[in-house]
Amino acid sequence: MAEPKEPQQPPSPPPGPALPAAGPDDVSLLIDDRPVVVRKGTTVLQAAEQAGLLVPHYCYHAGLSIAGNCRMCLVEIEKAPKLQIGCATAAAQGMVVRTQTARVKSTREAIMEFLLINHPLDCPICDQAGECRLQQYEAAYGAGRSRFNEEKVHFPKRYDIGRNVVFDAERCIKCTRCVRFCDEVSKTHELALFDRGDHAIIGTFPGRPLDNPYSGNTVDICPVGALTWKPFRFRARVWFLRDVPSACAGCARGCSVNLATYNNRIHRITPRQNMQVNRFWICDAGRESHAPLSERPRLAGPRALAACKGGPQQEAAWEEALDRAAELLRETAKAHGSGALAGIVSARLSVEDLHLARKALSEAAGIPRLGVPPHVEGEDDHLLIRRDRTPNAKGAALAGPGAPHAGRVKEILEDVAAGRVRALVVVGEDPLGDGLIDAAALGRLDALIVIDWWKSPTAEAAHVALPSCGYGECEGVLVNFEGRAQRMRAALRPWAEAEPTWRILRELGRRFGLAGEYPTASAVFDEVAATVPAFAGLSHRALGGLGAVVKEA
Amino acid sequence: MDSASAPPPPMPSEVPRGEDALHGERMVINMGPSHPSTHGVLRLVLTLDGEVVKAVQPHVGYLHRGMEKIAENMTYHQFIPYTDRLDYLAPLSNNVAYVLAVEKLMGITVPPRAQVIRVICCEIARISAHLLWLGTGALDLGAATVFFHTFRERETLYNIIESLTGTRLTTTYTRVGGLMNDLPAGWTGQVRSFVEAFPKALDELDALLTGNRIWMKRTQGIGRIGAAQAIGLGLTGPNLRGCGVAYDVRKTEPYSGYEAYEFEVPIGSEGDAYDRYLVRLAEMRQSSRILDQALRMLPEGPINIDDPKVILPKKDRVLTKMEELIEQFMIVTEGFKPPAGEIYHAIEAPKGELGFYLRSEGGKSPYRLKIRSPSFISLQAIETMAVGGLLSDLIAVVASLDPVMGEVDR
Amino acid sequence: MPLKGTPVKRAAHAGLLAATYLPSILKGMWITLRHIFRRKVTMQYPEETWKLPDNYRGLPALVRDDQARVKCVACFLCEYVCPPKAIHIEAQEIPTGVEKGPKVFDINMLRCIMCGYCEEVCPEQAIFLTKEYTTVGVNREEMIYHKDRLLEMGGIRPDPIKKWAHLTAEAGSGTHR
Repeated sequence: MAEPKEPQQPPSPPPGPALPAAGPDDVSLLIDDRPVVVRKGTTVLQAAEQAGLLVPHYCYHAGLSIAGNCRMCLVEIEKAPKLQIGCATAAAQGMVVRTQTARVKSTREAIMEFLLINHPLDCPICDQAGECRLQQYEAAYGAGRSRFNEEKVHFPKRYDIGRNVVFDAERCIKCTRCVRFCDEVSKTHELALFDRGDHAIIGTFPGRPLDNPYSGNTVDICPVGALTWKPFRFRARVWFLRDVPSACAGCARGCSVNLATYNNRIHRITPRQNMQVNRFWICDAGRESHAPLSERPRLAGPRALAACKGGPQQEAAWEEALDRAAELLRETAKAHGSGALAGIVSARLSVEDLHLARKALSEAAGIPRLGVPPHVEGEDDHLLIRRDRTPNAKGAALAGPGAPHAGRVKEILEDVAAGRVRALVVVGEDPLGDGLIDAAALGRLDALIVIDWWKSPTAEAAHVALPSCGYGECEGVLVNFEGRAQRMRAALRPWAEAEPTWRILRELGRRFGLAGEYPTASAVFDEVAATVPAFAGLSHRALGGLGAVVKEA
Repeated sequence: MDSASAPPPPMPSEVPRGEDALHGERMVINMGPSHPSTHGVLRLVLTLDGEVVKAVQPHVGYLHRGMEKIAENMTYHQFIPYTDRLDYLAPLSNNVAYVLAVEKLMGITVPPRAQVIRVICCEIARISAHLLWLGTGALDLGAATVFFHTFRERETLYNIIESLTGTRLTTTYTRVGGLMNDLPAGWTGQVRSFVEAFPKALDELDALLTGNRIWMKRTQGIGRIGAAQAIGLGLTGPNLRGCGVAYDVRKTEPYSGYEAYEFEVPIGSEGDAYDRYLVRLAEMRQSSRILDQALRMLPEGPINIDDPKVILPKKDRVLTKMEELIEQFMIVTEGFKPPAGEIYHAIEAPKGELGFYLRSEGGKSPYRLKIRSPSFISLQAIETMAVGGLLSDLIAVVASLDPVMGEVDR
Repeated sequence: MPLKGTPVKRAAHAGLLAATYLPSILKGMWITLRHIFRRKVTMQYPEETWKLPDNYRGLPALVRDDQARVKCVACFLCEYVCPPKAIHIEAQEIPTGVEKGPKVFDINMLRCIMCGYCEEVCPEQAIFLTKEYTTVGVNREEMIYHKDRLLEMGGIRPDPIKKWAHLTAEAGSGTHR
C-alpha cells in the first residue's frame, strides 16, 4: 500500500508558544503546541498526560514496567523519521511532539484494525463491554467499518486460569499487563506469554494457577475482556454501575476503593488510585469484602427481650428498644454499682462511631471499662495486606476508647463469666462467635446490649439488639496504620431499619444526659477535630478523596 | 387544617340595588381540567357575570411529565420517542423538528431522499392535525357531521403513517442523520391516491361550513385579536396568520429543502375564529400541493448519512463484523457527542413554530433541552380573545386556537 | 423581503333566504345523503380486523433460533436503551455453548411504548416487535411478561447468520495447558 502523501510540516519551532525555561533536572518540550516541563526521564506519554492530552495506549500502565508492544501510543516527533511510541520514548529538551497529525491518526486506525481482526464478536456476552479499551478506542480512533472477511483465529475460551479469574484467549490482545503484574507487583510469576505470532497466548505453568492474593488486579488492568472476575461475572453491566469513592475496611491498610453500586447493592469493589496508600491495587479479600453484606442474615429492626427474662427476642420500635437498653443499664448500675457495667467496642468502626462510643458509654452512661479487641491474622506481606485486620485501630487509640488490647477484653469477659460484670454493651463485635466467651457465661448477664449490622450469635443472645448500618451504608472516617485518615462513603441506603452506629450511640447517650446535637457524621467528626489534637484542622471536606495524615504526638 | 375551621364568608344580607341589581354577583367557575371542549387537561378559571366572560385564567401542568429534564439524562437518540408525545396529533413533525435541531448542533445534513421524506411526513402530519382540529372544533360548536368526514380522511392518513412507521400514533420515525427505515413498497402510491382524492373531500368540508350561516354566526367576529397584539403575545402558525401576518417558518427560514416547493401562505384579515378556520382549511390545500410536488421530486438514494459513528450499522454487519459490533454498542450506550455549543432550531409545525433549544457540553446527553411549543404560547391569547364575550363563544375561541395539552405541558 | 401571504376569502351574510338558515341546512343534508350510497368505511371490530403492515410495531417478544436455542445472550443493550425502562434482565452463566444467557427477562407491558428501540439495538436479533396489539391483564403482575411467555410469543425465527455456530459445535469451554 502506498504511503499517503503528507503535507510537509512547517519547520519548527512554529510561531506558536516558546519553550518554557527548565531547571537542571527538568526538560521542556512542546506537545501539540502546548509547552510542558517535566522531570528528566519522564516519557512522552506521561508528559502528554501532564499537559492534559490523552495518548491512547493498551500495554502502558503507570504501575508497571514499560513493554511497548501494543503500538497504540505512536506519536510524531519532529526530526525522527518514523513515528515513536510515546510510552517508551523519554522526553528530551526541545522535543516537538504531535499527537493529532494525519499520520498518527491513520496509524491508530490501522492498529485498531489489526487488533480487531481476530477479536471475537463477544461484546454482547463480555463483561468488559462498557469499560473496554477496544470499544473506547475503536469509537474514538477506529474506522468504524470492518474490511476483514476471513475466518478469525479461534482460541480456547472461558477457562479458569485461577480460582477467581476466568480467561478468554480469543479476547486477549497480548499487552502482557497481567504478566508484568505477576512478575513485578505480586511477585508470584504465575503468568507468561507462550507461542508466537497469532498463536501467542497467555497461560500459566502446569500446577501453578493464578491464585495469588492479588489476582483480581490482573482483571482490573486487563484493557479488554480477556480476564474476568468470577464473582462479578454477568452480575451487572458496567453502564448501570455508579462508582462511589470509599476506603476498604478489611485491614489496617485501608486501601482507597470504588464501590460500584446499582439497585442499592454493591456489585464489585475496585481499587482507586491513591499513591500514598495502595497505589493502583487492592487484595482479593478486599475486593470481595462486600459479599457478607448480602450473605449474612441482617438485623432488620431493633429487637428486645420480652420484659420477663428468658423470653424470646421480639421486634421493637427504636424508641422502645433504646428505652429498654437504658433502663437495663440503669437498673444494673443501681443494683450492683457502676463497676458491674462494661463494654466491648470494635476498632472496625469509624472515628465518629468510636468517638460517640466514648462520649455516650464512658462519659454519659458511666461505663468504667471499654475493651477494644484486636483482630490479627497471618503476617504483613510485601504489598498491601496487614496482619492487623482492624481498619481503625489507630482511630480507636486517638479518638475512641483506646487501642485494641487483648488483655483488657479478656479481663472484661472473665469478669462476665465470674459474675462481676452484670451488664455488657457490645458494639460491632461478636465475642460469642469469635469464641472469646461461651454462651453459658454470656447468659449469666443481667443485660446484654448489642449494636451490630448482622444477626451475629452475640446479637441473637442479646437482651436488646440494635441494627446498625453495614459497610457502605454510612459515612465515617478510618485511620490506617500509617496514620492516614480516609473517608468511607455511603454508597447504599441502609438496610431496613438500620441506623449508623454513631446515631444509635447518640440516642442511647441522650438517655443518660448526653448533650451534643451531633446531627451528621461530619458534625461528629468536627467535634473530634476540635477536641482531639491529632485531628486538629481536619474535616470531612478537608480529607477529600485521598485522605490526610493525622498528627501524632 | 386551619382553613376548615375558619368561618364561612358572610352571606350577602341585602338584595343588590341600582346598577348592581342588573349585574348581580360575579361567579368564578372552573372549566376543565376535564371538560370535553378543552381537548385535554386544560383548566380555565372563568370569572363570569351571567353569561359574559369577565376574566379567563388558563391553568396548565396537568400533563407535565418533565420531558425537558428527562432529556438531560439520556442519549440524544433515546429522546426521540418522547417527542411523539408533544403534539400527539402530529408526532411526525415533532420527530423531524427534534432531529433537525440535533443535526444542526452536529453539523449534519441528511441526504436528499431523507429530506423529501421528512417534508412528506411534516405535511401528512399537518393535514391530519388540521383535520382533527376541524372535526372536533366543529363538533364543539354543534356541527357533528363534519367530524365524521374529517375522521374518515384522517383514518386514511393514519393507515399511511402506520405502513410507513409501524404505528399510528407514536411514530418515532426519524433518526439523527436520517430515518428509521426507507419507504415500504407501494407507499408512495398510497400517498398519491390520498393526494388525488383529498381536495374533493376538502371541497365537501368547505361546502358544509364556510358559507353555512350557523357556522358564520358562531365564528365571525368571535375571538378577535389584532396583528400587533398577536405578535406581542408570540403567537405563531395559523393563529398568527389569521390576523393577516404572513409568517411561516417554511418560507422565512426554510429547512429540509422547503425552498424548493411552491406553495402559498394563506392569511386572514379580521383575526377572528372564522379567519383561523379559513387559514387552516387553505393550509390543508397547500399541504396537499406540497405532497404532490414531493412525490414527484422524491429522489433515489440513501436515507441515512454515511457516518458509522452516528448511524447504527446494518444488522447483518453487527452480527458478523467486529468494528460494526463495537459501533453498535458504543452508539447505544455512549451515543454520539455533539460539540459543545447551543442552537435553536424551529419548524413550522401544524400548531405554529415548534422550536428546540439545545445546549451541549460535549457529552452524550444534552446539558439543556428547551421546547418552544406553539400551543403553550397560544393559550396566552385566550384572555385577549374571550374577555367580554359570551361563555358559549369561549368554546369557539378555545377550539379556534387549537391547543394540544401534550405540547403545552411537556 | 417580507413574505407575501395569500388572503383567504371570507363568505358574507347574504340575503333573506339565507337568514332562514334553510339553504345551509339543506346543503348539509344533501352532502350527507350522497354519502349513503358510497362505500362503507367503518369496520366491524372485533369480528373484522384491519390488515397490519409488515413493519407493525406491536408487543415485543423473544425468539429462538432453528436449534431452539434462546437467542438472547443477556447483553443488556435493550434494557439500557429502553426509554420507559420497561425491560428487566438478570444474566446467568450457561455451561455449554454461548456462555451467557438471560435468567430473568421481564418486559413490563404497562410501561412498554412499542418504540422498537430494543429490536433496533439488539446485536443478536433476539428480540422483535410482533403484530400483537391486544394485551389484557386483570392485575399489574399479569402485565409483566416473563421470559417463557415472551419466548412463546416470539417462537422460532430461523436466521441465515449462525454467529455462534463454532461454539455450539464445540459444546463447552476450552482447555489450555
